[in-house]
Amino acid sequence: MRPPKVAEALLGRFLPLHERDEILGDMAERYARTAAREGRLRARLWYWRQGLAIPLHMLRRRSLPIEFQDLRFALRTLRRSPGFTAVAILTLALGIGANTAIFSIVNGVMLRPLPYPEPERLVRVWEHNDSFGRLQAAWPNFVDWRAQNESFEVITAYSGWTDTVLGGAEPLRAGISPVSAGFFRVLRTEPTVGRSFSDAEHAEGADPVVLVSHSFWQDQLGGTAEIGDAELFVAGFPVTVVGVLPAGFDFPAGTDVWYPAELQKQGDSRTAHNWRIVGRLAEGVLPEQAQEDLSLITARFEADGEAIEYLAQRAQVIPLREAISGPVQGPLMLLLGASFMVILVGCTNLASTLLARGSARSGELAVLRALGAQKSRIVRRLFTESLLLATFGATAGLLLAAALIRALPALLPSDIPRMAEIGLHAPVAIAVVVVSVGAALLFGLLPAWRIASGDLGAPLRDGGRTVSVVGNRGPWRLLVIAEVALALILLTGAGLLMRSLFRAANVDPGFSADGVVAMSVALPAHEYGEVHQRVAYYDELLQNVRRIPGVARAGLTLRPPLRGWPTNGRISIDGGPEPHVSAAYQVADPDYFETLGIPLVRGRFLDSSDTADSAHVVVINEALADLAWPGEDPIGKRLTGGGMDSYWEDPDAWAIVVGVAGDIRQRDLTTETYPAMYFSYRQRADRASSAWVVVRGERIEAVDLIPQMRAAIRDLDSDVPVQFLTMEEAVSSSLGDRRFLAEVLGSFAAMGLLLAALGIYGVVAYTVSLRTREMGIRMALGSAPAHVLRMVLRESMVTVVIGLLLGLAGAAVASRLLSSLLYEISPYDPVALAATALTLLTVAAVASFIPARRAATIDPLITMRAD
Amino acid sequence: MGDSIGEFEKLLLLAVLRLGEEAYGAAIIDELAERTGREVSAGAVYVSLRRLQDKGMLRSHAGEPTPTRGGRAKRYYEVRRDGIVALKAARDAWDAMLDGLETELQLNT
Repeated sequence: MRPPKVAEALLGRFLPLHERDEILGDMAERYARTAAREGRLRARLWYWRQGLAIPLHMLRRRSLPIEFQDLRFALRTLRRSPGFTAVAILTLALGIGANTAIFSIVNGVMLRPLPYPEPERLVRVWEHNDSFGRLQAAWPNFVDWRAQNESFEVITAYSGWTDTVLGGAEPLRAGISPVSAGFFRVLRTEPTVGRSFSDAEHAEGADPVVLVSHSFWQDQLGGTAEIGDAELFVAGFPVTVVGVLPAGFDFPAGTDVWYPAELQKQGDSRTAHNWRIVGRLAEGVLPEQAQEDLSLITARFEADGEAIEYLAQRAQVIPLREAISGPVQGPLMLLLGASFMVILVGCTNLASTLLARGSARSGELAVLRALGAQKSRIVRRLFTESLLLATFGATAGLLLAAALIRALPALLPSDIPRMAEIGLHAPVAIAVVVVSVGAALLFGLLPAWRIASGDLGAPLRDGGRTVSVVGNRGPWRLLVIAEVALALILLTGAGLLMRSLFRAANVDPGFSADGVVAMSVALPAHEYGEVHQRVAYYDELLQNVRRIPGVARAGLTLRPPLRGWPTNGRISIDGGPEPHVSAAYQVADPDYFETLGIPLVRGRFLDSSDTADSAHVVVINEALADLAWPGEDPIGKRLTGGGMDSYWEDPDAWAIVVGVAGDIRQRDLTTETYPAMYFSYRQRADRASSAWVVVRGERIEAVDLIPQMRAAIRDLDSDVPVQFLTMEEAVSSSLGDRRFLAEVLGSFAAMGLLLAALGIYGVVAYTVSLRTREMGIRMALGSAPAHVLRMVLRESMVTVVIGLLLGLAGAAVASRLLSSLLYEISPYDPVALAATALTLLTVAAVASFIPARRAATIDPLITMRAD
Repeated sequence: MGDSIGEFEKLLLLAVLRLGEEAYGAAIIDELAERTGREVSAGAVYVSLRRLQDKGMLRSHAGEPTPTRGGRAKRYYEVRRDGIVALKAARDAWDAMLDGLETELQLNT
C-alpha cells in the first residue's frame, strides 16, 4: 500500500538529502501498518499530519528566521484582529487566485510549447498579397512550394470541415480533415492502434482509408483493437479505418477523421485559396529564411486568365504556436493586464494596512524594546506575522486558482485554442506566489524595521496614542491615490466593455430569433447524390414538420443567421458594368423569410411557382440591391454568380431578381450585413447536401417540439444525422466572446473597487484613530461634530479626487488599447467615464464616511481623561 | 564535562538499546510509543536521533532497500560508549536525587 503521492513528494522536498530515504522509508512502512490497522482514510490523514510535522521539527532545529514561539505569537496576534487578518488574506487570495488563473490560460494557450516533438520547428505558411493580405494556399502553389523549397524537412497541406459520418455507433456530424502526404511526419505523430497512411494511399484512385481520433474510436467504434473491419461512410464515401491517433492529438482542432487529400483530384487554379499549410523546418532553418525561400518561389507563380488580384505575391511563414494563439492574443493580454492591476491594488492595499498596523502597534513594540527585546527579535516577530499572512493568503489563492481553472472549460468561450493544455502548472503558480508573498513580506517588514529602529522613548512618552512612526500622512495618501487610480482604470475598462456588450446585444439583427428552433440535416452523399433526390427529401421533410401539431411555420435554408460567414463569391450583372460585388449565396424555401420574420422590401419572396422547370429566380437583400443597382429598381434585373454552383457553368444562366428582402446580420451580431442572394432549393439544390430547417411554434415553444421533429427526421431516413439549435442560443453565442471579456474584466473591476474601498476605509480609520485626541480637543473647544465630520471627509476626498484624476489619465491611455474590442463605443465614451468615476467617488465617500462619523462622535471628556 | 541529555533523548537511547539489531526509525518510534503509552512525534524522534549522533552517543549505518518501504533503505542505529556513559550518569543523578524520598513518593523499593 503506497502512501499518498502528493504528501510523500511534499515531505521529500522538505527533507535534507541524507535523511530522505530513511524517513520516507520509515513513513511508508508505518503508513502501511496504520492503513492495515485503521483503514486507508485514517492512514492518509495520519500521513499528512505526520508528514508535515516532520519538516516543522527540522526547521526548528536549524536557525531559520522563524521560531516556534514567534509563530504561536503571530497566530495569536492575527486571531486577535480577525477583521484585519481576513482582509489581508482575502486580498492576497483574490490577487493570487485571479492572476494564477489568467496566467495559466496565457501559459497554456500562448506560451507552452506545442505538444509535438521539436515544436519550435513547426510553422504555418500562408500566401500573401497586397490587396487581401494573408490567404490560404491554392493546391498548385502548395505543390510548387513543396517541390522547390530548400527550407523544409516536410511541408504539407490540410483542410477541415464538418461532415456526416455513418457506420459508427450513431450517425453524426464530425470534424473531417484531408491531409497531404507527410502530414503526420510534420507533427511526428504515429497512430497508437493500427498504422498510418502509406505513400500509395496518398494518390488519386487509391483505396480510401482514414485515421480516426482516440475519442471517436472510443465512442463510435467501441475502442477495440480490431479496427481492420471498421467501415465508415464519410461524406457519403465508404472508407476503411486503418489507425487511431493518440489521445489528445487535436490538429487541426476538432478533427475526428483524417484522410489522404490526394484521394480526390485537386483543381489547378492558383487562386482557389482552399488549403492550410503546415511544415516542419529543416534543422537550423529560421522561419524568416523559409519565408524568403518560399517567397522567391511564389514570385514565379503565374495565373493564366484568372483574376490576377487574387494571386499570391509572396509567402508568409509564422511559427505554428503563434499562428494558433494569434486570434486570442489581444483579449488574453488585456485580461492579463487587468489581473495584474488587481494584484497591484491588492498589494497597495496590503501595504497600507500593514503599515497602518505597524504604526498603531508602535507603543506595544516600544514596550518590548524597553523591556530589552533585541531589535532583530522584534523584526523577526513581525516578519513571522507577515510570513504567516502571506502563507495563508497564498494557500487560499492557489486553492481559488485551482477551482477557477477547473471551472474554465465552462467559463471560456469554446473557440479558445489549446484549451486542453490549460492547467495549474508549477512555474506559473510559483511565479505568482513569489511576487505576491514577496510584496507582503516587504510591506510587512518595512514598517517593522522602521519601528524597531525608531526612537523607543517617544511612543511611551506620548501614551502610545498620538504617535505615528511614519510621522506625516504623506505615504498613506500616496497609497490611497494609487489604489483609486488603478481601480478607476479597471472600472473604466470594464464599463466600456459592458456598454459595448450592451450595444451589441441590442443590435437589431433584422430577423426575430424568439422561439425559433433551427435543425440541421445532412444528407449522406451516397443516397442523395442527385439533386432531385435532395429536393424530394426536403419537400417531404418540410411537409412532415409542418404537419406536427404546434408548428406555425417551417422554412429551409443553407445556413441560418449568425453562424459564421456564408458561402460567397463574385457576381456579375446583366448589362454591366462589372459591379465588383461579392455576395453571399443562400438557398431557401418560400417560408424561410416569414419563419424568421425577415421583411419583404419589394417584389415577392420565393414561392411555389418557382420550380425546377420555371425560370430561375433570386431574392436579393437590400445591401446587394444598393450595390448592384444603386438608385434603380432591381426587380426584373438579372445576375449570375460565377463558379458558386454548377448552374453557372453556363455563363448565360441568368437568374431574375424577383424580390428584395430586408437585411439581416449573417456572420454575427456586430458584423455589417453582407450583400446576399437567396435561391429556391427547388431550383438550385446543388450545394444543399446539408441544410437547416427553421421552425416557429404556435402557442407552444418550438423547443418543446424538438422530440417530434427528431422523430420526423428519423421516420423519413434514420441515416440522416440531425442537430438542434435555438436561434436565441445563436444570438447569445454570437456575443460569447464579448460577454466573457466583459464579465471577467467586470469581476476584476469589482475586486479592484472592493479592495480600494477597503484600503480607503483602513487608511481613514487609521488616521482618525491617530488623531482622536486632536478631535477631542477641537470638540472641547467648540467644534461641532458636523464640522469634524466634514473635515475628515474633506481630507480623504481630496486624496480620492487626486487619485481619480490620475486614474482618468491612465484610463485614457489604457482604453485606447481596448478600442479594437469595442463595438460602436469610443474608448473615451463620456457616459462610461462619468459613470465609473461617480461609482468610485460614491464608494470612496462611504468608505471615508464610516470612520469620519466615528471621529465626529468622539466624546471629548473621555479622550481628555485618558491623559 | 560530558554532555548531559534530555528526558526524551534518554528514552530514545534506551529504545535503541532494547531493539538491538532492529533499531531503525520506524521501530524506534513504535517501541517508544508502546512502552511509554504516549504518541510520539516522528519529527522529534528524527531530530533527536541526529542530535545524539552529533553528540557522539549514537552511530548509524544504512541498510538494504526493502520493497515494503517503497524501495527505500533503513538506517540502523547503535548506542556508542558515550551514550552508555550518559545514560549511567543520568541514572546516577536520578538515584541520588531520589535517595531518601522513597516514602514521600510512595515508591516501594
